[in-house]
Amino acid sequence: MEVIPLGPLGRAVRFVALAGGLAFTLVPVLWVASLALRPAGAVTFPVSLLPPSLTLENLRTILFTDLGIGPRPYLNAAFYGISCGVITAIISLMGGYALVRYDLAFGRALLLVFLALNFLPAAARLIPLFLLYVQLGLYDTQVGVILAYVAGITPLGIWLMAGTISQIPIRLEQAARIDGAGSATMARRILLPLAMPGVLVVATLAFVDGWNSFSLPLILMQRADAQSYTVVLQKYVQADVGINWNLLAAGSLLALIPVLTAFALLQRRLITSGGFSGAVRG
Amino acid sequence: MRVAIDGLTVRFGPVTAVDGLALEIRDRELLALVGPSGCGKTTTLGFVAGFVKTAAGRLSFDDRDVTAVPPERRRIGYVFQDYAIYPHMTVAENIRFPLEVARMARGDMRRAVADVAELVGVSDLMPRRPHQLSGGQRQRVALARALVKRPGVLLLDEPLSNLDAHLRVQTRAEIRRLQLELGMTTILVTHDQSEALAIADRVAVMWAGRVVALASPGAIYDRPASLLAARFVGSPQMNTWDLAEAASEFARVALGGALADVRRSARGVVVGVRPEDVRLDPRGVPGTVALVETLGRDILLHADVAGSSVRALVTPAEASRLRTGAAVAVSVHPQRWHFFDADSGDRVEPLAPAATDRSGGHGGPVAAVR
Repeated sequence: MEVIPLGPLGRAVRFVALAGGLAFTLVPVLWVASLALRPAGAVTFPVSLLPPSLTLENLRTILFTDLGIGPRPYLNAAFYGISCGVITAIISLMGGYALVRYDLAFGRALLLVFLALNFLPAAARLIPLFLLYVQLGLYDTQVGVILAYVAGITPLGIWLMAGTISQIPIRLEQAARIDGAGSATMARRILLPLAMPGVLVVATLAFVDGWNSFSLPLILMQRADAQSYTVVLQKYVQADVGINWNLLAAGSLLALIPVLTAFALLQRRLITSGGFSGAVRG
Repeated sequence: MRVAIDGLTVRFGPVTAVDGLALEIRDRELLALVGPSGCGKTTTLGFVAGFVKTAAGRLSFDDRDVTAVPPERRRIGYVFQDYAIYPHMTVAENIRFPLEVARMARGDMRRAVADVAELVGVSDLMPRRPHQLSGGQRQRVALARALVKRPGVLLLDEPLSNLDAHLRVQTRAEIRRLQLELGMTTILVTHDQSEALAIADRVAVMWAGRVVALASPGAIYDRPASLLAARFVGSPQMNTWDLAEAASEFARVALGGALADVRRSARGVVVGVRPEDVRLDPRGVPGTVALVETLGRDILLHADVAGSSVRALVTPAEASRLRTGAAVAVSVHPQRWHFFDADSGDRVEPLAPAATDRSGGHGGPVAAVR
């Protein structure tokens, strides 16, 4: 890979920029962690980043006591997220392939539409979705929640898969055909293995998007036992009583764990895929 | 297996890539499809493979119409110009793939893969992945994969163009050896005419979507059936002059008495002679040297003779004292001229006048009547 070498000034600027960006991202997270791991009630002004002492009490409270929310909301969110991830990956793979490989008159236009749809804010969808769901009987159903998640992230998924697949030389598919493979065999043995990094990215993005979703489950799910942790954590934000910072932070900290794990695993996969070097000359 | 193409016309938008092409490839022969870029040869190959769909054209294998048969059921082998071997599989898995698709028994598969790997020379590379192979090695893997299922016909799309010069010469001989050993009907597409001449049983020269010449390498070289083929086959390129133009003065002078017979054979005539048939001759037509090109074994002499640009292939010994601006004289052996109809490009023979009268002179007529 060719890179432009940086002089000392360039390197300094790069360091400052990266450090700044990293701080911008990490400080809030560290703050939440700090709030979650300090004894209850130790949140007084002025707030300090470093906790006076460390304790796991808050985490235990969240998960195992009546004061907490229990593991159920997290399991719900995981269920919705994983379902969304799987379904989105499948649809995106097929949609992306169709738009890239087939000579459709509206193919490119459709890809642009998908990209544009991706920028549609969730808030704009809420009311229409709610009305639609009530009419369709999908309101307050788990299926409804999952479908809403999928609909929200699939445009991006198709766009990403289209990009991934367009990088797979079509020659390989032609070679597979010559070797006697029909569409199904070709997809299974050639396309899927080569598109896997893209599929994993889309699946992970969809999972994280669903896992973090707040406004959709808020509007579309009524039952408390099938509700996502994002909505349930609202319990600690009560206008009349006040905000229970420690438990809110603890609940949020727990939510970080699956996301971090997912990205950690994904990162390794992406790097070891090896790319398409050696398949086609040049 | 015999392959027959009939009435093939392929259009890509406003461009006609192949124009009413008809071609028959004989069983066990290696037919080379040569021509410049854009002449339609790869498109034709794609048609035989089943990638190129067209409304006009029929394809048959051994008299069986396979035009509507999808590529995966045609039992052909194809080696792509850029190899197209699967990057996520090892060499062994690559070669094995067609057999796995055909659900061959495990034991038979292992044996077939080992045999073909041995044949092609990749037995030592089996556990490697494509990105660990050189260009030549990848090409062999592609070849092995194409041959492992014992196809009826082998299609090669410019298999040598990505190899360096020496490897090219070596590999083309190996391909030929392999093809003869297996008795495999093969269609080789290439833009390199020397490659085609070197290993093919017959050569088909294509130009602008049509076959302009079809003959054995020797015949294509010695008696090209069309001007396009004459100019494409043979390196250095044949000298050609249109008699209607002033720049053909040399030809007119060199033909001498035969000129009348030549003019009679067609309305307009293009005259050609290969550089190796132009020789230094102190009694020949005088001119001056414009450029001396050293080709190693030969010297290509560019000369201005009687107002025409003439290229002659001579030995280093003959050319040892020639420099730009030196005086030379050249002549052509009477049997070595080629004549082509200026309109159609077809080969023509000079027509002797009605009587058996043969005029002498510098060039001398070729008496055969077309």
